[in-house]
Amino acid sequence: MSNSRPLSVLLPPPKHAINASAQHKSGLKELVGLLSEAGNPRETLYSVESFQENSVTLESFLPLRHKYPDLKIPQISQSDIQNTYERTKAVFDKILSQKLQPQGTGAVGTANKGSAKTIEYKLPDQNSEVRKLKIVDQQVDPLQPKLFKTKKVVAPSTDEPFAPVLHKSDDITPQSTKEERDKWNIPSAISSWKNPNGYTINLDRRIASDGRYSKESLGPHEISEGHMKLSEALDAAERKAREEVSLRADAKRMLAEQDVREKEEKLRMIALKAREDRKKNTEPYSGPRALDSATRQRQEDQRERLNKIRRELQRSKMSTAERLRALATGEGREVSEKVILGAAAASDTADIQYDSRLFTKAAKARGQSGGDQVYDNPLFVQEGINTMYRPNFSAAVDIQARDAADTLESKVQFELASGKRGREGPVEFSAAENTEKSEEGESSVKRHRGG
Amino acid sequence: MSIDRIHGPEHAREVYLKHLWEKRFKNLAQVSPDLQKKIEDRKNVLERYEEFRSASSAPSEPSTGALVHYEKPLPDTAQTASLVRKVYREDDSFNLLMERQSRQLALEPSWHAPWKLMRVINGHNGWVRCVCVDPVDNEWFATGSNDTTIKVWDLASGKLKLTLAGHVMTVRSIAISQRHPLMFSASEDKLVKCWDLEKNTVVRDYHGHFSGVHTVDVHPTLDLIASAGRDAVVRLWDIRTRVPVMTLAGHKGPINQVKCFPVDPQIMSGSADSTVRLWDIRAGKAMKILTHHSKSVRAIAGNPSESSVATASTSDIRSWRLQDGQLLTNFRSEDTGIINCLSVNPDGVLFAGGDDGHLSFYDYKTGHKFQDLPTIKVPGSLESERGILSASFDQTGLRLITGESDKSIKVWKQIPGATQETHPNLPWNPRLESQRF
Repeated sequence: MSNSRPLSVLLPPPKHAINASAQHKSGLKELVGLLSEAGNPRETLYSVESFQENSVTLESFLPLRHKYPDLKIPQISQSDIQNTYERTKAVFDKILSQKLQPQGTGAVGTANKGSAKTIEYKLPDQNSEVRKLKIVDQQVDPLQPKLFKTKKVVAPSTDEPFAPVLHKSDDITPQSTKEERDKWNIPSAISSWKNPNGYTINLDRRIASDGRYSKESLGPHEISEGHMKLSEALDAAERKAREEVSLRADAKRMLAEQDVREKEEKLRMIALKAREDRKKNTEPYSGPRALDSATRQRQEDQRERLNKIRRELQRSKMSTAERLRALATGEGREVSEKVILGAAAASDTADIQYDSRLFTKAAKARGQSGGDQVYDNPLFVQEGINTMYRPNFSAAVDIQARDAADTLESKVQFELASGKRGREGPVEFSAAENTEKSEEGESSVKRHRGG
Repeated sequence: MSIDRIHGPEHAREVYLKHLWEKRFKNLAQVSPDLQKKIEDRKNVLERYEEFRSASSAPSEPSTGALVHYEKPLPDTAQTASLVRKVYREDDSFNLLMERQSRQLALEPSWHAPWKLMRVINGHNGWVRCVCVDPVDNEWFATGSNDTTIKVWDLASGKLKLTLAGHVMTVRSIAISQRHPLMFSASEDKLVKCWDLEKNTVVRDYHGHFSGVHTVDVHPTLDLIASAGRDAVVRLWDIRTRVPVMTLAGHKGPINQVKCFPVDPQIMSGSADSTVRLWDIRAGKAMKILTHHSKSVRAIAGNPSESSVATASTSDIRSWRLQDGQLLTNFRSEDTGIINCLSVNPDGVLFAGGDDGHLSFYDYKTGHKFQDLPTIKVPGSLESERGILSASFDQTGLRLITGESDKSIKVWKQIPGATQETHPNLPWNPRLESQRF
């Protein structure tokens, strides 16, 4: 029996067999449609009914009541309602029973309880008695939970009836007309008279290129001759003014130069004269040898005066300290260098002004890289610098007081250890016999300090 | 034909089909009538016209040799009509725009009495987002508002009967069951609440929506409610056990309204992705998608006197046959603007409440807008507070209750004693553009 069947029955069905046949069918339909469009209506005899069952026809747009104005649509009959009710109720009862069944409880095994099956059989070789075999379902605890709790989530089916869109789509997005678009057009903010390189187009050229102003109707937009003249005149006046200003500046500069030159000349003359005078003075008098005492006296006076003038001149060139020193020596007083320097020092400024940029730079140098630098300069530079390196007097006083107390205490201890009272006045040196004791005391002090 | 001239399987199939044709049909003397009919059906208009031309001009005189041909005068209208009828068959002639237009003009929409304001009810502190009339006794109606409360009013007197507080955000939709003493309310706080109308308390909450719930409806025969909202899925809940029995996914935008029907499609949902889906809830997927609307579908209303449904998006109301989703009518609503709510009464009047505060009334069969009136403003309300947010006819169809954005509820009725002579409807002049695609 099994040998008579073809071998292919045992094979699994070919993959995509259903799809392949469906494709074939649809291809045929398309072909039929194609042929009918080609113009030979007789070739469309095949499957005329099945063709175009899904495509959009004019019929689907034409209302039935327009075609058949007296179309009667009867109310739904009670039998239909009842029929639908029963069929639907069965479906929903089933769904509901599934949904209401608590998750995890198994199927109750009582359904096949009574259906025990008996098989009678006889072994072929022996002539023995007929054997009976009773097949009974295994008892299942009806309350036993399901062995497999996995619940398969089934995605909802996506196969839908083909629904061609039967309304106009252009009324959803109405096309705008050109006027509307022009109305909404926002011109770009880029000047058409200037390019990014900074070249500009002349006014008259702009006017010429603008379509709104034709040659006939230039009217008020025309640039009149007067405007041109005015702008030219303004240009000329500006140029003239600039020339005058530069001329005046030149003249002033030349005057100043002349002044300076004259002064220099004068100074040169003075210097020359002075040099000649000096030469005249230094060279031996070759005049009358015999000089009377009065003349000699006069010459002496003159020399003295000259020396005095020279000294004055020198003194005027001296610094304040040197002048003071000179004054002191001139007056024959003994003035200490310190006093002179103190007197010569410039008056103290109460608040020293620092260039804050110095500190900023320092702060910047201290800071990390540019990314961490939030502020470009520190907030409390000026205030900080005034108090930063000044000693805090109250703190200093505290420290001093503590030190003093310490030392006093240690001194007392030391004195207690050395058996000596406090001393008054300068240190008295004594004989060498006390040396050991004092050393002892010192070591005790050291011990105390260490402990 | 040699093998090397066959390019690919497509070409091969074409060759095969031609071969088949040669073998089977070429030498047939007469084609069987059903085949002939199919062939005729497949012919397009131009081919038919060519045939007509050749058939009519076959016995014409041979050429006279004249330089200028004398053109025959065009046949008169009767002949033209016969030609049209011959070239265009019955169905095809309906495909012609002018033919459709002339047929439209020939229609005579039935006259309906115009509507007028009857009563203004104030009481809510926010927009009145939903109205639902008691389906059993037609004695009361419930409204849900932006002030998070649900109020129950007496239909006859307009007196407040009850205020139900429980939601923490806007109540977007109310549904009252015909078979249970239960009322369901959907809110933007992601909850659907079930109210017991005998104890006037919340008895159940339906948790599970990921975002605000916009709409809820009770299934007319099954113990199910359908709710949908901003998370673009329709959820079906078992009323008693509060189990979300089914989730219908597929919409690509927030869902504005969901409706339940006793037969397939049992659920219909309109979404902001401008589609309406008809759901097959036994299979759990959409059985048809209506893509005719081009804007968000905000409202769906079933017709109580026939099995059809009306849907509305901005300036576009259409009605559909329920069983197969076939387009029935394009309503004359090209200039209505945004439509927030729809309601149909048993007399064949469709009401559409506009977001700009206009009430428009349509003849359901023909789609004729027979009345268009602006809402009456409540004194002290702002100009911007004109908008019909929700509307419902009562069970008799004689009263229309609208919930508006000026926080008021308005009750409208037909003008008593109105006749076609005293109160003529708006004229019926269907425009060509109303045959929109």
